[in-house]
Amino acid sequence: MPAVLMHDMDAPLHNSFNEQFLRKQREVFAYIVTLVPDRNDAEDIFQETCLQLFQKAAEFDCAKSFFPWACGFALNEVRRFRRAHYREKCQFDDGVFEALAELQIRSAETIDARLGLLMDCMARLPVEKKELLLHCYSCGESLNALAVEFKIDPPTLRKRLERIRKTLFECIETGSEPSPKTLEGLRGH
Amino acid sequence: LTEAACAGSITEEQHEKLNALLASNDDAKLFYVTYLRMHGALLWHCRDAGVQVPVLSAPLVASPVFSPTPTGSTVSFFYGALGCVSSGWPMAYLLATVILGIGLAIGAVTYVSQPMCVTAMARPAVERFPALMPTPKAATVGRITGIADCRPTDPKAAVTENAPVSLGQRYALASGLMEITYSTGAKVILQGPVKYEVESTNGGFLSLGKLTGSVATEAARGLTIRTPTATVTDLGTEFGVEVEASGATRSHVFKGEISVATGAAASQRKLVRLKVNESVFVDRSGNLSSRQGADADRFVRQLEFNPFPGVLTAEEGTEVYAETFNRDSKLFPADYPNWTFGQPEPGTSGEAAAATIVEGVLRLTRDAVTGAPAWHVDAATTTRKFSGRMIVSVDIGSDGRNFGYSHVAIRLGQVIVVFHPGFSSKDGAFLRGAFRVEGIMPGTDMGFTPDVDVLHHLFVYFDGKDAYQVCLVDGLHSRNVFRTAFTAPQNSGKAFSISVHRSGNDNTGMFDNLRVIQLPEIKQPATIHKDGGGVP
Repeated sequence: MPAVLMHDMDAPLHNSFNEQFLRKQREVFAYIVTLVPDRNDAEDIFQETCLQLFQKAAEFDCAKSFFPWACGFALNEVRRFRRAHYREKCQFDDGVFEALAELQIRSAETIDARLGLLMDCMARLPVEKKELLLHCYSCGESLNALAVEFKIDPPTLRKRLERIRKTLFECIETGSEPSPKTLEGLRGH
Repeated sequence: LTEAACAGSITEEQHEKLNALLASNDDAKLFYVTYLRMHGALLWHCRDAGVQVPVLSAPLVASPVFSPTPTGSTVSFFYGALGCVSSGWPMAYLLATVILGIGLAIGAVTYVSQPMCVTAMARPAVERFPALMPTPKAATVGRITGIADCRPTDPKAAVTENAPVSLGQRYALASGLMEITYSTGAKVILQGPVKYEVESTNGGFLSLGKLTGSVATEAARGLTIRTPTATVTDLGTEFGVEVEASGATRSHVFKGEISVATGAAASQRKLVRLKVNESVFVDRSGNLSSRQGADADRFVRQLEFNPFPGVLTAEEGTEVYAETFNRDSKLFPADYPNWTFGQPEPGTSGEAAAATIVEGVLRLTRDAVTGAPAWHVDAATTTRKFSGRMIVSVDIGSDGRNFGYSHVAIRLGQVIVVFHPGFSSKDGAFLRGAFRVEGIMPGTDMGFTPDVDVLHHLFVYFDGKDAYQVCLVDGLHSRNVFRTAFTAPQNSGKAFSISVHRSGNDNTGMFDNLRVIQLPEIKQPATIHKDGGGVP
């Protein structure tokens, strides 16, 4: 990081920026993931976004909300990424892409409320499923690689993870315990 | 389709379908972004879960001198002085940012997107992936890092210090205290009578009794305590939870914020966020009360530690000065009338510098206006002067810039006690921590290197005449304790102010929890031993 950034980061003027950044960095990262689901690509974009944010920290108006301001930078980085990878398949149309980006800002409160329940919902998972989730998410290895390493069928591992994610989603959507049917499905594995 | 996108297994055909669906259906868009945001939040949360946060391999001293009473009493000094690696996660981020900056500066192009994976993948497969093994063993998620007068309900059940804590483990204490430190860095102190089950890698189920929860790292954020009627989730804080026999739950916030969700059915479920000094009660039917004040006195917030057991065997001191720097501020001195900030050390050529308080920690880097280096500057100095026999303590550290070449210190009058976080050697010789007393004791190997970006716990004992003892406890590894003693006549019979202090060109000194305990005078002069075990 250029020296000027390191200097700026400590200036008292930017205390509000630093606080807001620390509070909202997870949301900004997750915002990027919705637009670029691959974790390694998302990490790279997040890293570039952070650099941009710190360079522009002095311009942050603490009277305004940090999340949409930061997402503006993230969106620019994602657009740059899309331009660089336009030949790749599995890219949303521009219209869909922009609509997904805009929806997250417009519905930030609704989405945040749901995600606020995520840790609670994770705590309710059966212990072994929680472990599986943590291990699968904690490493950058592909599911295929993990499955091979542990000598199980990759689709089986993928299916287990999918069930856990669906359970969590059901929980954050409804704020309720997983349904008996869902739990039954989990126990079956 | 959304799942396939999450899993990275989506085919071209599936992606086209998804694109068409999202283009035509607003509900589908909301579903998709919420699901992917959850996926992103999981990635964020779990990428830190593999970090092996050091746990205390040796328990804190459970001395009978200070009974485990709640804070607020005359002995509370010791509770607040240990384990307060406050704001650890922002510090960790700042460190990461600096490392990133250094990497860019030297043109390094290799980016390790999941550095914690190195640690996680180094572990054996069985340990990493127990859920898939034929006979999974319970995963260790932390350790017992302190006990005091601990009596399990079942006399046959052994509770031993430093024992591993596994998922699913249950603890029932008839009395006493037990501290669990999770591998994430989260801590809970169980206060008997209590029943607690470790049900996750960062939380548990409290069915009866009290606990205090605290987090020191970002990985520890989200510490979740479930009770029969509520779920309490930490949002970067310190809090207390108390469960009655009926299952009713009261949650208190001492620092930061928590969320409390009632355990009622979905349609009646309520979620409330509590801020510092607030509490809320959930009755046995799951009804949520209005907010009330927090009652910190009902909870033990730190296990005890006696830094000078030889000195304090049979007496109690009185806290006469304490500052936790909890009011974030840059408007000095108006916000803190008992202090002056950012003044050059007397007798040096340093310039005044601007101190700030962010996230409850006093920080000083350099003059905020001119950008001039802040050499040998007192970050904060008490306006009050002290004399006589005393113990001064402070949580103290430095950030990671200019690794190890800046010092932080506490100054009692003309006596300046110095060490260098991050410093390990000089001219090929170990000089870990480079402890010294300015003009009195040369650079000394502390036997361990106090890490940067951590608040360590520094205690200085002064006998009121010329004898001093120093105890420095590593803020990350409490088994690392450096003790020394020296004599210096400068403060004898004088009243002096006390400062926290830093040097260097670029590092940020960090300070918190400065306390002064006045001790009763002794009639006979103390004999201070070099090993710190002085006997009055």
